[in-house]
Amino acid sequence: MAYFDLDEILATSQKVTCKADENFSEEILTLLGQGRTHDSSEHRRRQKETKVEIPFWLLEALMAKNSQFATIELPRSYKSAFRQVLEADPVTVDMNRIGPYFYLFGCKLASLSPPERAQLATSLVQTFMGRVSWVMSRAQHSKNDQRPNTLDKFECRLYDVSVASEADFSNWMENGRSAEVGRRSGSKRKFSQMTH
Amino acid sequence: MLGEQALNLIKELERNPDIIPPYNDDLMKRCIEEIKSLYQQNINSLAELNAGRVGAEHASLLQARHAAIERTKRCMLAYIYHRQQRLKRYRWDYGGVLPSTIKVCLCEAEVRWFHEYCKNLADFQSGLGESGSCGVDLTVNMEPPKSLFVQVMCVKDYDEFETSDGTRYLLKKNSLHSLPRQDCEHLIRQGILELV
Repeated sequence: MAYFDLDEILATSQKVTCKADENFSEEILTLLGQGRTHDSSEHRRRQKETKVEIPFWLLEALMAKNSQFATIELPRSYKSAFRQVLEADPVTVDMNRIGPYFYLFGCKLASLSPPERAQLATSLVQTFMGRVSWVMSRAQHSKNDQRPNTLDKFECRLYDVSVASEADFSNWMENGRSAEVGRRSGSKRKFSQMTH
Repeated sequence: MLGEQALNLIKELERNPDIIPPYNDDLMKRCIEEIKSLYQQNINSLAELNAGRVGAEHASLLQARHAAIERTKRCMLAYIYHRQQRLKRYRWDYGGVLPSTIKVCLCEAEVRWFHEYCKNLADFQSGLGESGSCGVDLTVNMEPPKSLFVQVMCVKDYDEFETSDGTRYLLKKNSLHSLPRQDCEHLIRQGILELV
């Protein structure tokens, strides 16, 4: 499923800044539409470290063959300063604003062994653990509330599942029957909920 | 930019999670063109590389182009796959006849696939059950039924409706009926009737 996963495709389309090493071909930048004029490219070639911005999927493919190819610079929301914010209070952070695929992209980043890889991975887990109980409790007591808009895509899905099962459960408690056909009526049941 | 067009296909699906957006023939064709041109460039580069005319740093360029081809392919396949999944869902919710609003959004191959799918499903269903019987309709009774008749309210105006025992009902908005469950289940899923 992962190959066709829309979320994963969108998450890996995000760009990463990295320091390129010497055998980084200038033409890749031209390919990406970031090419410079000829003069400056000569100039840049002489510079030892150039910073480039390339999409994650390309970086992943290039680094699979040659891990020395470039040094990743963590995006702002995964840097040490931001990790401290997350550590201090994970619940107040607006995940939707810092990147709707925070966890997914974080895991992907960690797989490329950037600097501070271990800290990044730990921070992801800690953040999730810090937030999950809050997400669940919001969902269980939602009572037709809007979904909080500070959730990451993954948390949104968790929230939706939680709201649906809470509704099922209380329905069963009250009527002794699980949700019947009626709940599935037409447009109410959404593709996005069915596929996951 | 590299892979940008293919990503737009994915974004189109992401923006409309509950419907099938119109088939983007134009964008698909442009993606194919992109793949072809990248492939051709790679062949040329490879020839030069083998002939020793360019240095080894071009190898990474080759990889980058190849990654871009793979990426574009992935986006396109995901686009087709998710549209197919949604279409399949329609078969179970709306039955074998597609509303014209949906039909105009499909490409020729998808319409063909839908007919094939309906045929396969019908073949499979007619082979079920004891020999001599007319098979089992798998799309009804998705939940175990509790009763043969259900109380329903009509949400939208609908034409005259004939149940399997030959009784005719006029389904007008806000009218109440007691109908055999298996006849009206499709209407409930389409949102024309609602369980009371």
